[in-house]
Amino acid sequence: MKKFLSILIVISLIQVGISYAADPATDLEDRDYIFGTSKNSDVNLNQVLFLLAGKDGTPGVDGIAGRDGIDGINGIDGKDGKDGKDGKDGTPGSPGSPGSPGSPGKDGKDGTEGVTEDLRYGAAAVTAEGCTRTATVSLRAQFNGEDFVFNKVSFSDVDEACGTGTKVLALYVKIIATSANLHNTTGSKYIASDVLKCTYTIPLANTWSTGRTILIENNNFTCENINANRGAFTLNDIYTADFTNKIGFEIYER
Amino acid sequence: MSNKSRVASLLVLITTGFFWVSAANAEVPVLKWERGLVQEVVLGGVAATNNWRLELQGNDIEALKFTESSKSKENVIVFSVMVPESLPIGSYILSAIKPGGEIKVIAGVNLLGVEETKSYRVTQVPRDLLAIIGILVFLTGVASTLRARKYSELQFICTQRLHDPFENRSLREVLGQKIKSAPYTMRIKAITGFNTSVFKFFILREGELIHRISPLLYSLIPIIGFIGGAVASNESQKAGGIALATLLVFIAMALIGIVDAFSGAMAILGFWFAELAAGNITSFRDILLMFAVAISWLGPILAATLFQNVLPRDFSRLGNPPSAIGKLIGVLSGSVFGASIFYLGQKLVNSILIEINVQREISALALGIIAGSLVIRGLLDMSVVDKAPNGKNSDKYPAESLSIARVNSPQTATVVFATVFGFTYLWTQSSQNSLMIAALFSAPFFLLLIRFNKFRIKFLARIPRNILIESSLITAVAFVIFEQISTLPLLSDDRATRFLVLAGCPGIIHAIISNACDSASRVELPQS
Repeated sequence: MKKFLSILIVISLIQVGISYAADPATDLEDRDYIFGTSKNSDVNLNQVLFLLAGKDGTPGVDGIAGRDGIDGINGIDGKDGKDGKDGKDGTPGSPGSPGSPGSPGKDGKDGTEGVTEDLRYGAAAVTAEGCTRTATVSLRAQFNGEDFVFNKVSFSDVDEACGTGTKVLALYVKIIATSANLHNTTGSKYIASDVLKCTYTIPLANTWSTGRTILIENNNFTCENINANRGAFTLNDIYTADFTNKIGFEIYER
Repeated sequence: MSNKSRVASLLVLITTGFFWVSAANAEVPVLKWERGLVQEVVLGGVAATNNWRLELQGNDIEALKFTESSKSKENVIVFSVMVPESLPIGSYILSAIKPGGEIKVIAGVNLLGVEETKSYRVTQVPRDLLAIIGILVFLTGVASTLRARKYSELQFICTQRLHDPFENRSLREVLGQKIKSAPYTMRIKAITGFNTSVFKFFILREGELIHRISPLLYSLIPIIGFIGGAVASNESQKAGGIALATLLVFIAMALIGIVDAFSGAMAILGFWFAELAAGNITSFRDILLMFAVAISWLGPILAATLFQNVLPRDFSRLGNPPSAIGKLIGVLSGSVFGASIFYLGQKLVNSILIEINVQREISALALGIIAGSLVIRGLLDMSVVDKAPNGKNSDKYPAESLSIARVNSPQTATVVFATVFGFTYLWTQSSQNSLMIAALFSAPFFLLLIRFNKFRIKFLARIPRNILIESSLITAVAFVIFEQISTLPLLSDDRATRFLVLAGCPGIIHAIISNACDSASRVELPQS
């Protein structure tokens, strides 16, 4: 290896010499030839700027004023002006008509099962002078989704004499005096201190239930406001919270 | 291109067009510049005293700002800018910006491409020059530190048959066996033909791995290397020269060297032989080119194995076996060092190529391949070469050892001198400067031949030596020198020359200190 390397070096040097000798133009001191021609030994293309900047000269004398120029051409139209300020507010409009009542709300969840007990208002045994000596009146309420209303009325222990001919049972309900405490305020058939009258034609005695009982559903009553004509209504239009706990009734022959 | 940038381009064209007219009228100079190089402008007079700034503008680029040197005694400032290779070829303007913001066009620039000019001047690419010299300084530091006593004993278990087994037998008796083992014998003879040296030791050691894997491969791979070198030369010629040959050829040859250093050396000889046969070696420049190729093919494995062998000693007490972590650090550091030597070799090749149509950039991927291969090689060495061989004859193999009496021979120092002179002469075109630079860079190698036998300074004898830290330190000093020179009001060629001269100084100072420490150590601590 050492010998081979030496031979390579010697042959390389001989070849350099032969190349040198083969070129008659080669100068003995031509270093480019010895180290090969290259761009490194060529003229460097890259130029360096040497700049010796002097002080700024003093400004020259003002030149002669030139002639007036030709009139310029007309300018381009100006841009549109800005928008004006907003006007004053107008007078307020008249109030709109009330909106239609909203649709009924969804049914509430079923409540827990209560104790078996009737809610009775003014349940009492009264002595009747007409067709019967006694009668037990029971008022039953029902929750309508918003409040408790009267639902049905039960008359028991009524003499069968009341079930003959055409007899009418009239029920009187007194409404509380304070308007603020009224529960039924929207589209109500009554206002504070009104007296309501609900009537029912008693059916024949042979149709009564056991125990001489007459069970009257709310829509079987025809109710009216005695104090003012507010149209007919039914028993369940009366909120239980709105009456004075005083109920009167009468039975009369039509 | 957006409308905005079209308008900008148009404006630039219009400006440039007007500029040429005004340049002709006002006699503003037009400069020719090449891309990929540092370009300079020297300003004096009011420009130097009034803090002008310079910018290269035009062609719709973001203005390139010049860096300015300090002011010289003659009241001039050198403005320099690295013109990127990516900058579009064409016309530009050189604008001086006064402190008040007033812009003054002082020159026009016609930017040329490397494709056109075919030139690469390493002295005008400071980054490349710094890399070359930095690695060279590091290498000098390594050589100087290597003389320390802690690194003087190198050893490995050698399974290679260094003596001819048929020595005392008649040719008729062993002719068949001799023919069969001829490649093996030739390889061994080639290695043993070298004088005892660090180079010989490492060539032998780096063949041990392949020998343990397969003695047959050990015999044949140098032939493959030689042919590979010749093929690489042929491929280079087919591509139109080394400058145009793909870097892959050079990486492949370096990989052969990494697998087996001797085969790497054979590849260099094959390459050289083929170049010679093709008539491509006609000047000293071509011989230097062979040296540069040799550095990039054989240097990586030699550098890596050097670190792999000596660096672990910095991580263990004197006399104790090196730790696994120390060995691993040696492998990793050696790989980086080896890859940097490959980079050095390729940059040296670039710096002296005659016809360079493209700049042969060495990619990070190429360096990664070299470093990765060296890591794998180092790990294999750790698991194979560093352990005793298996088998029934495992105890018969001798421990091949080398006591480094001197790191290099006078011939090596002379070759370093000649090589540095040759390269720097090509770079600087000045024999005087080249002689000085060659003397400075080869001085540490000559100092390695000297030892003072009556040097009695205990303090120096006990200074702990560390090859990595010392070499890194002097390289860092070289970097600082470069930074300082960069601010001087000099043109790039003068800066390069000054840097080449001064960068040799840290190596010499380190070599003197290393010499003193080594001499004192051998006088004061003869038994340790």
